[in-house]
Amino acid sequence: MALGNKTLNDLVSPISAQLGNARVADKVDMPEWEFKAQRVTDGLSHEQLVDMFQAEAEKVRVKVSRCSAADLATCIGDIVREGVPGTGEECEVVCANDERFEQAGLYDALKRRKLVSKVTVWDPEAGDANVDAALVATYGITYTTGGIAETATVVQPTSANCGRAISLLPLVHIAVVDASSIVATMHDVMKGFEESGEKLPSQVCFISGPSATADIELVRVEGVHGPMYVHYVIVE
Amino acid sequence: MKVAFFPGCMVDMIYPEVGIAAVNVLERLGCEVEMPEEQVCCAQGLINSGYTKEMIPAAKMIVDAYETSEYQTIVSLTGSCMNAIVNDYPVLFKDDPEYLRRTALLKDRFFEFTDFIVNVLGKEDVGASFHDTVTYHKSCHMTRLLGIKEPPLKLLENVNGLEYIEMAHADRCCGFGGTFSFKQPVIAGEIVYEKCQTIIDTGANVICGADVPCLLNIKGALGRMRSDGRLDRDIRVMHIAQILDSKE
Amino acid sequence: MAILYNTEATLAERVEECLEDDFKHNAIKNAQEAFYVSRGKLVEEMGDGWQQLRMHAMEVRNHVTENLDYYVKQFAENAEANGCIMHYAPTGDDALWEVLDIFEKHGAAYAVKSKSMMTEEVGLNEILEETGIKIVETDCAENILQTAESKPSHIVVPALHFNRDAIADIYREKRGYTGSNVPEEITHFLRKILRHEFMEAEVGIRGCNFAVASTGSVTLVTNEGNGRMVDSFPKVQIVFVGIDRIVPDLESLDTMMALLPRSAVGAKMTAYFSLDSGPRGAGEIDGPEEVHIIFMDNGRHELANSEFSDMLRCMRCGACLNICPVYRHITGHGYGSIYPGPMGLVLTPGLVGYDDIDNMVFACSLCGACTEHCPVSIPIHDLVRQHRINMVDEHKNHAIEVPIFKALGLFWSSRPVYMAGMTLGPPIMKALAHGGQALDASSAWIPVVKGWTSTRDFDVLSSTRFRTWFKAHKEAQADEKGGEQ
Repeated sequence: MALGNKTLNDLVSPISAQLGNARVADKVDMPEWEFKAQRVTDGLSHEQLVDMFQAEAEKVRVKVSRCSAADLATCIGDIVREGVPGTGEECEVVCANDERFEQAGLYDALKRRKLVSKVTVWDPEAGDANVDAALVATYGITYTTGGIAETATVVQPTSANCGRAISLLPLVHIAVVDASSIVATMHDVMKGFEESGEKLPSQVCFISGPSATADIELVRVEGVHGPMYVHYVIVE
Repeated sequence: MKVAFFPGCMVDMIYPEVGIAAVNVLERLGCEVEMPEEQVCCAQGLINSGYTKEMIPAAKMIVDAYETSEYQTIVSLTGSCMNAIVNDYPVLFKDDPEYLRRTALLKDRFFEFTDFIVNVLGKEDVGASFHDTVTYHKSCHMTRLLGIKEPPLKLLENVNGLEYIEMAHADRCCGFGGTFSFKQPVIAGEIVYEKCQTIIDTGANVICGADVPCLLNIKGALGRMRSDGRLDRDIRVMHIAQILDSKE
Repeated sequence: MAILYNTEATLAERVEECLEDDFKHNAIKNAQEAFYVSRGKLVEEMGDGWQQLRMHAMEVRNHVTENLDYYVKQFAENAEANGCIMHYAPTGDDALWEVLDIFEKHGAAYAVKSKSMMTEEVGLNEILEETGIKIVETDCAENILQTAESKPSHIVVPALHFNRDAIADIYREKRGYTGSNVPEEITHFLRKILRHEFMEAEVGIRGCNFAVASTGSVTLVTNEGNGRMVDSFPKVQIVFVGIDRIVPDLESLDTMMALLPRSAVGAKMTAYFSLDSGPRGAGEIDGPEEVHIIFMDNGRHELANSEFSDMLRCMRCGACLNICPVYRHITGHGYGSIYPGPMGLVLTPGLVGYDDIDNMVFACSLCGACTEHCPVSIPIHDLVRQHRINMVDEHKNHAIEVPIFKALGLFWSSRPVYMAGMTLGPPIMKALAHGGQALDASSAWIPVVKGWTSTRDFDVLSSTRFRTWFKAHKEAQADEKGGEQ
């Protein structure tokens, strides 16, 4: 048979034949699963989950700050002021375009900071300039849609107002997460997606700490292709 | 209690003293021990090398010898052989309903030696004494496939004078693997040398186990290491039955 | 690279070669140790939950395998509805053809790739390079291998066989690296040189850990972030998806993800796990404009509804490698397959058949540690043995051994033959042992026996049989009883 240009049927019919099916079933119902796994988070209160989220984050070398919505701009400003080892005095920041950041006065607060030379707010109209800004930025700041206590994960969907580059290219990723959005396990997040019935965004990235490798002699090195430092800000 | 005894072929061929010790222990615990004459070997070396057809006659011989109304309780001295009988024979007899049925009957009647003492006879102290340092190899098929983990350790714990020292990775394979150890001598050698090193590192004077084939392998490697200078002291290799039969 | 490599060498030769490399040997041992400890802690922490997760993962994956045609179709239709361009590849060659076609249509000649076993399986890099397309491996280890022109020794950490000095030298020679041999410095050098590649490449090529049928999503699990880079900046993305990567829905994806990082690297979660559902959406600035999914079978469907169907549950975590007593010593290179270790012993012949694998499936002591550790409860050691059974049935084993096993079968199934052997054996062995208790290295010239005595002593057969003692013992007991009566 010639190569290429195969149809779905070309792929599926040998499978059906192998299974002894004359044709592909119109519908297969998911069975009632026999096993359900208990998780370490079972029975924990929300407060305990938030504490677990923080403790687990610190285990994977994520710094964690907690603040109120009103103090968000100050809190992030303090993180930026702390600086990053090995970087110059001045730095650039790239932020997601988020109403909550606007309301908290984050953009203005950052612009007022002496050490911040430029603040780029992600702008769908600005095209690749957004990515260029992220390439040189020291800090990328996003508002995540959820946190997962068990694994210290933040849930980061992509959108027109929050590109992939923000949480990926800068040296530091500051991920803001509402305490109320912290759930026990990834199962809760997945179930939420399923129950919403909405089409998933082009990407949902589950981030759990700095980019890292152990490829050379199993020595852990942080800051490979993504951020070297990750900072979670829990908004209570 | 009347029990049929399954020694395993290596006991018959190489280490009769291990079988004798086991019979002594069982009898001391009040068992009346029987052994059918027509048993030779579980023959698992054949299926493990892919030879199922060649194995069937030997397997039938074992089933014929032990699956009789006379024997309601069978004690196997070697976990691996017992595993072959209860878990591999069904694969072998998948197209032979009669032997499949009879093998299934055997499954409920077979007990590994230490498991039998602890969980059927309910004895953890068999009255043995053995004044030395001992480490124990957790053989793969008995530990993993039959799931017998605690009984041998409980028995050792209750031997008067015995000082137990756990080796690192006690449940890591010794590299025997039946015909594997003949077909892949270099790999098997690497594995068993490493096993021996973990034994040596415990400082124990005695290595014991509950599976004879592993002991043959470990003894052979320790012997080689002793003769080529990699080991500078004698380490005794014993079956747990021999320790339980001791009054040292 | 295809699935098999270095096939001109026999298994024994490859093993010998691996054992000569002390650094590699120790590196794999240390890696096993590290993964063993970290995985063990996490499993313990989960208590009963771990076994429940394993069982649930098994039932989910079995359900998919039993309805594989349905789920393949469902995934394909939903991915297409997400805006992905589907390419169906019943064979590896179909997959290559489709990839080349995509490059040709875009006039593209520059690609970045994040580690994907499927692309290794079809030999994608070689084909692209032959066509003049530049393809850059972006996983640190894979980049080291590509730069050094070497092969993976582990499926999760593939470049363990190079030490830091060798790696620094490779980059000094090939990429103008001027730094030290400190892993951190080398890694940050890679961050610098590869970032440029990510931003410039026209095509991103990646694999897929799990494909979600109900949403048509593909996923990628990475720690380094190279997967995200490949997934974010090249305008055209090619995703290799095996038909055995499917989970039915997002909830079952969670089950697999609770098992995968723990089993693979002893971590609760990797730094990144991305769930991708189609090309960039309206108004999005980054992410691929076009997503091409190469949906590939390449022999996998034959495992369904066969004695090896359990293998379709495999999620390529490498837990079985990390516990295997054989892999520990012969490393990934000993097997001569891109799928090494226990899972490789099952999968490799499952995909390529028995003709070219030498006696690979005998590089296993059947200890069962793999089965015990497998997060989806594949009876790996049983399946390895099943390959052996099939090889014997199909006469693919080494002919020279057949009479030996036939003789063993006879020996063990006839008491007279056995007893005759036991009469002849002991004096012969005693003589070979020069009167001692064991055959030593001096007997390593005798066929079959040398298999053992080349590395270990072999205790000689006892001159008395246990059965003889037992009979006498019972007679003595009977006499005693008789005497008492």
